[in-house]
Amino acid sequence: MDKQKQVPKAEAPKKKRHGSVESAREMVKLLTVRANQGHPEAVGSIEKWLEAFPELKPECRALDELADKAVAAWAVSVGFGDKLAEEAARDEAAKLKQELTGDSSSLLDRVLASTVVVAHLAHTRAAVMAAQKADHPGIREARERVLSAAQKRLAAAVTAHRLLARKKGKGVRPKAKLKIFEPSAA
Amino acid sequence: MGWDRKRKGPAGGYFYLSVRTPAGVKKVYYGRRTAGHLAAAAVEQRRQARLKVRTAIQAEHDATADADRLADELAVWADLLSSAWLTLTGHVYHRGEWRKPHG
Repeated sequence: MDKQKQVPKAEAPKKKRHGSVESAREMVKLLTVRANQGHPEAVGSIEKWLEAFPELKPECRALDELADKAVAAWAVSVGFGDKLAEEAARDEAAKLKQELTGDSSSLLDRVLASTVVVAHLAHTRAAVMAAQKADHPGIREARERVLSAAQKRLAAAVTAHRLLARKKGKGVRPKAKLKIFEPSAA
Repeated sequence: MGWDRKRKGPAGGYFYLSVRTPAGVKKVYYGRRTAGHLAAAAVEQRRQARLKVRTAIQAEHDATADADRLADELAVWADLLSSAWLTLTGHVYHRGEWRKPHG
């Protein structure tokens, strides 16, 4: 009996446009799980889905916008209502993102870098909150839990970014040339 | 526990407090006079303090709820795209890490 989680068989897209960004996301997720279960045909299907993806400019833009929105929202949170602090956080975030992506970046690079930036901002806010005086031990404990979760998220984001950077540094590339993983896919 | 109104007792009832002991939960009698009212006030004070703490924690959570949602969504995408990239480059996710099988 195969104990591995059964995932419905997913077909490659027939047309270039195939539903919302969420459905594309779910499909690639399913196919990745299938490929990990040892179904080689799923790898080909992922290639086809991702090949179609950059053609869907709105979806790529939506991801860049999502990243920008997340960074902006966290910059506001880190500012605690102080416009100057907000601006400083936004500048720091832009600098960090530029440092992580470099001059030429793919959509994947930008998303991974934004995840690190967002996790860094969330961690900064959590650290500031945890350092503030709490009126009650319950509040202090809640803040410490938030800080601990933010630390985990930051570590995970940095690990993911470093893993891919290391692999790319070694010259690892997908066999098929996919626009989504090529520089300037936006 | 609170005010326990007995069928034939006073309308206000008697104040009892449930106390956890190693032997189990004990019902402690405080009566209907000063001791009862003082115990009831202390219980209410503790309840209000707990509510205040809960409200403060919830307010701090709510302040970043939207930012948290966006961060979660971004993290899902980052995970998905990097998983796809690693799968396409011949890596396999095994025991919590991505490995490239030899051969």
